[in-house]
Amino acid sequence: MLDVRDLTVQYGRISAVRQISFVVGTGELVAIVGPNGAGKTSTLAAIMGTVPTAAGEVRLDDLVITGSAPEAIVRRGVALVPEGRRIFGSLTVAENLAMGASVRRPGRSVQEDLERAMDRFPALRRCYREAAGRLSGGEQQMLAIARGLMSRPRVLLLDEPSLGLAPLLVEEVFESIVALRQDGVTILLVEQNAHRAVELSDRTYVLRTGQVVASGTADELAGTADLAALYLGVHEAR
Amino acid sequence: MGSRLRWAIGLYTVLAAIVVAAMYLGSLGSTTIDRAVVNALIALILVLGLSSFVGASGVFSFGHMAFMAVGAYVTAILSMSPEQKGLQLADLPGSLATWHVNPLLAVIVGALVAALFAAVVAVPLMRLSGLTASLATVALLITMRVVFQNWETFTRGTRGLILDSKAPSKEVVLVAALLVLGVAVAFRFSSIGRRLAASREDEPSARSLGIRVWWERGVAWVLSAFLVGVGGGLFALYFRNISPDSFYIAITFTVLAMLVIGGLKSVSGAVIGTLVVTAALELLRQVERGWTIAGVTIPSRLGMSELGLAVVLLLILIVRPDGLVPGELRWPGGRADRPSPSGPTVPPAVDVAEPIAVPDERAAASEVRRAP
Amino acid sequence: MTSFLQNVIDALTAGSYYALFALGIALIFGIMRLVNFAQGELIMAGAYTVYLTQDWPWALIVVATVVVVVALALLMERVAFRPVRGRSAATLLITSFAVSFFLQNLARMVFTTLPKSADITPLFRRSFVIGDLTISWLSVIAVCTTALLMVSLALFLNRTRLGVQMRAAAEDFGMARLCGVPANRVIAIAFAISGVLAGIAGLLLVGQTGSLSVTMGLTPVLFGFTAAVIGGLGSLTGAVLGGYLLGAATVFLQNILPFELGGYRDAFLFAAVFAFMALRPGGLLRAVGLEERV
Repeated sequence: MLDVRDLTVQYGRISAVRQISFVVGTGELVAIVGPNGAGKTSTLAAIMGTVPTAAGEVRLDDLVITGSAPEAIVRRGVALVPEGRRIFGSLTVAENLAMGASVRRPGRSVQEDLERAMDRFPALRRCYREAAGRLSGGEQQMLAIARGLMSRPRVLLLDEPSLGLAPLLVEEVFESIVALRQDGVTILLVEQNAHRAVELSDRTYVLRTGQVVASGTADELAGTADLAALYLGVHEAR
Repeated sequence: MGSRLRWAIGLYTVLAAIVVAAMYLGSLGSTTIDRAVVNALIALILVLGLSSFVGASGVFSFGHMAFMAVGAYVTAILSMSPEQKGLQLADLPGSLATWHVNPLLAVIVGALVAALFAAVVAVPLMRLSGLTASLATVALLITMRVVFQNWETFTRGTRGLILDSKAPSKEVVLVAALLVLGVAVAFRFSSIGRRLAASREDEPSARSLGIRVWWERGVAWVLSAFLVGVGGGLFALYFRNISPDSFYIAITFTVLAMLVIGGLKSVSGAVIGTLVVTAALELLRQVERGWTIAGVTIPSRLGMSELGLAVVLLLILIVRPDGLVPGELRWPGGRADRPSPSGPTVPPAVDVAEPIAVPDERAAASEVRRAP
Repeated sequence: MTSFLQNVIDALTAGSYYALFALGIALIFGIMRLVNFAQGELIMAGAYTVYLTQDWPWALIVVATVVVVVALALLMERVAFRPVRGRSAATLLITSFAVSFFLQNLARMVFTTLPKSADITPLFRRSFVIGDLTISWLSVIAVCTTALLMVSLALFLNRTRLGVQMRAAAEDFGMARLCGVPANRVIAIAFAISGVLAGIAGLLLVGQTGSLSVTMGLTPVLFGFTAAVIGGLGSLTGAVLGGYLLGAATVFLQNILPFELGGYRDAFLFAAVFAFMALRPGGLLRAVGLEERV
């Protein structure tokens, strides 16, 4: 469904992402892992159109979305749950969810999705009228994911959902991600927590200094050189 | 250090040569041109003064013409003959009413008073950052105007003052401009100047290195006020007629435009900007006075040159925001040893108002804001 | 007691004006991090529209003024501010200064510097008396209009879909876009609303003084952003609060300053504001981040 080819992202003279290619098939949960500065967030940003693409192409089901404005890409069906969550702290939980549905016409199906979101994440029902800034870290993460889902995206991009969360909460978050996948949502997950990400996903790409150094299923990656080594570049993987 | 000094000297020589050449080119003509030339030289002094602060701190000051005014009024009071003072400023306190000093000395004193005033203002001002500081300088400009309009004893209010001392020759003004240029170059290349340039690009890092940004900015502020005060004093002496409106929006805009169009990160930019804008303004003023080209008369319209300047500034901001001369001119053949990065080498996230993908976490964190 | 009440009325009136000025500035700043100096020229444009239409029925005058100023605001955004969107706060500031200067001089070319006068309706100049208090009709209209506008704005921002989107954009513009909210639409609406506020402000100013000049926008914009900064740039409630505080401070100063120093009132006012800003740079309410960009 999501087809990225030779994507290159540059900030001035620094290349954050260098000609990477990967695919996310419909219904898959694909992970991108890698150390800090590997270009993971830049990749997502390029897909969403918030940073310009120096070269390469992003296709959503044969529709080229490279170079479109973020709001247009969201309209096409790609939603981002960004790093740091970026929920609207001064808005209520309800309003945050409504924001997620900005691309849709208000009506019954939006209402149904709201209900479903609150079934999935009961904490949101509790805090429905509260200012989102008062939620705990874990609750905010749930809200961010729920907000992303409100646009009924074809692909959901998750950027470091476990960041800054206590281990128990991290588990909860991962569990909900798996549940989403089971519901048929296509997910591209960017994670620093490599082991869990690899375990949970159908396929994983390992990114380092802007390039894909390895990819495959959990078993395939276990077979290649040690993941940590890949991460740190201690051992060149061929 | 040797190459830096060489570069500084080389740069100064080049710029000074440009200024002198421009001046003599411009002087090939009547006294009206003379006036324009001196105008340009004084503008250069003002721009160099302003640039010493804005270029160093990255904070736009809209209030610097207040210092120009202080310099001008003090110069006027000190250099006016006692007879004129009796006529125009009858209520001056005793000693001031009779004092009469050499006009150029008056300029220095005026600049010192401006610098002193700047030092006082610096105490609260340097605590403010970026945008708020700029807005505070607007308040400064308007406040000082109110003061000058009302402090009849010293300024004769809105009627202004007429000076009767001997006006300086354009050569004197040229020498002053070259001296100011020297000071500006020296400051930019000094260690404090370089530290400021670094902290302008990346303040959090600079602060974390223990650089006392606010103190060093304060120094730049006071120095720039002094230079602008010199410009004010010379302005008063040469044009002999000053009033609160001489130091208000129009001149603030013109000086700022020269700075931005030239390029506010470098002394070279200040020089080039002044020359380019002066030339453009003179051209536009010709049009304003009414022109006949090939039998078609363009009627005169007051305000056209200002309009033109605003348009040029807008175009530069849109197309070439770093100005015509983004970095310092390099002395040809010298080693490229820059005192400061001439452009951001961190991802433009620092400049972009809505970054999302930021490899630089610091900028990302500062983007998450709380609202009303 | 009476003089206290009179002062309160005066402070409320002045505060309403300042709140009006400040809201226009805070609204745009919240969305775009832009302090729009040209807001003053929008007010001036409103005043001149009133001057040009002064013989029309008053309802049409109001409509014409609002329409013209909103159109100018949208034009300004499209031509001058869109190309520099996303740049540093300093660039935006200078751009708005350039736009302001441009419009001032354009008006000067068209209307010349001579102040003009306009007398919209004699009602504005009349006052009525309650006990020992003299209240001008204009004060009543100014206070009520401002209150009405503020309530409408609050309702819009809190109860409508568009309003929620704007509040979200003001908090995190990039994220609002990532929710699919069109950037251009949000910004255009912000400019349109600030245009409405400026138009009404211009109308009221003409009504109050009966005269107008091409530089009349300078003082309002200064008071406007001062009030907005006091309240905490970007916060709409702060802007309103700042406006009324400034109004109160103005009246207070007017009262305590001896006659000879009366002309310095604004100087004292801004010196006080300046000192306040040094003590509390974030303003009264929590402000949007003002970190330096250059």
